[in-house]
Amino acid sequence: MKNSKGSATILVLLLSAVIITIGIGFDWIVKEHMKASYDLAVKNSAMLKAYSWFNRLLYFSLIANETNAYMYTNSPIDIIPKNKIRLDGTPVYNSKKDIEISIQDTNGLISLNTPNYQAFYNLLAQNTDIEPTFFLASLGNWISINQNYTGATDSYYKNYKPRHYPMQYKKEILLVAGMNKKAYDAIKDYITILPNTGFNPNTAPLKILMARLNMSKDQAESFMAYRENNIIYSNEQLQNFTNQKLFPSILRAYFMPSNVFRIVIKAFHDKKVVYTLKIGLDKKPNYSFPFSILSWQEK
Amino acid sequence: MKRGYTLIETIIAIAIFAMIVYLGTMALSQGLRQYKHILSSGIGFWRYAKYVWITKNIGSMVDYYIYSPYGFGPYFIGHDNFMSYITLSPIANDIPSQAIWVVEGKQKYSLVYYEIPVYSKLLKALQEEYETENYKHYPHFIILKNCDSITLMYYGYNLNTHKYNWYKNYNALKQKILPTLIKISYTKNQKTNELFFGVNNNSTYKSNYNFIPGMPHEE
Repeated sequence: MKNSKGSATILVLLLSAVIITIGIGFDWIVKEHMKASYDLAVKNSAMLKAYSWFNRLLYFSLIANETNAYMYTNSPIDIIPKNKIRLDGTPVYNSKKDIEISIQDTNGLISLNTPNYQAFYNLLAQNTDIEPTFFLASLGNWISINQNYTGATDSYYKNYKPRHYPMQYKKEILLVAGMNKKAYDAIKDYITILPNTGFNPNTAPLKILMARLNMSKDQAESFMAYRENNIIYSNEQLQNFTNQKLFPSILRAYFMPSNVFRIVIKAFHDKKVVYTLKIGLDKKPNYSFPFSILSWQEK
Repeated sequence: MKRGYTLIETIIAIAIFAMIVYLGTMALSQGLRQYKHILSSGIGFWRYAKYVWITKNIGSMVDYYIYSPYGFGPYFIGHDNFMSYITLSPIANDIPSQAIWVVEGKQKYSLVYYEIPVYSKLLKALQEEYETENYKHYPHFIILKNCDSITLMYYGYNLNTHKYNWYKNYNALKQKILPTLIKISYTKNQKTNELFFGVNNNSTYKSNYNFIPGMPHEE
């Protein structure tokens, strides 16, 4: 009798273990699916909001008045918050604070295909630990037809070869000898694949001001505070902050925006970014549109 | 007197246990099948997830300029059963990639997406990926399966006629501008459906490459 009781106990225990395992497993799978469905719904909603805000910003930018530092309209309807946005990448938020929009004039950045090499050198030296001279010479060889620079040439690369004409996407810079992911992450907000037409101190971020105009951090900060309420049109105004001058040229335009903008739209959920649009917009019309989308990336 | 379990008791216990495990597994797999069926046919989770991803992937197409017999132009090749382009929002890679879509099958058809990192490839290398079917070694994703027919079409601007039109074959290297829309038509279970995806890049900015003296031409 005692032995029979023992068998039954073991059987019951085994049975319970199996049922509990199956129950917990099924519950876990269902929960995972429900979480995935919820995440998808959140992402869908964020994607649509981001598209919608881009369309508003696009309309705004096409009808807005433009100064050297910001865009604005006097429309009685708020197309974007306060109908004004700075062109230096300063973010603007909607009333629910679940959308962030920003516009960065490319004349405030370093364009990878027509870089100001001295400014790029300074940016790399001040913010990364790579060897700027070697990298910039390699970059020169990468984007130019002739390999006249002292950096890496074609024979240096094994799995791919230098393009010898302008870069086609921003992360291509990671393929160039001397660059690494850490350095790229440190400078990626200050460089662009989009074209620019010169340099605009009204819209350059702090680190570009330091690199391009040889300003110290303090000088750049006080310059940025000054430009909050003033527009810089001339070297005379610059002289209050730095000895560096911008030399007028027929080919390059200074102190003014390029008409090409990097637009970033971020959609938030529970204070976390769930969807990002990065768009390169040229306000000039092309053959069939009143504007050009030079690049579009969703994340 | 103390003794252990007899052989028969042990065998019976194991047999009962194995049967319960088997029945439990059957019940679990049946439950999961029904749950997945509800998700796919009722809520359509995977269908929606795929569409979100495709919208993002095609929407982020880039005007990747390369030299071709037609001069410099953006890379996009489209036929009724195949298309290839470069996207900034790939699914499997974290760097821009060459996307290759292929209609596969003989009696029933599938639409399969392949993805290959683009690096700095020029036309010859991009073409080799699909001409040698090397793309089959890379990550892939089945977009549609068990279809009676699948056809791709492209809506784009013709720079010569200055008109938009639908095309069965679209070569952006020749047209000099990426298509504006991509249509995927498919018939499944005697129902015909059409999916439309927009390409956001409408740039002709880089067409100036054709006028820059000394721009390198691929051998």
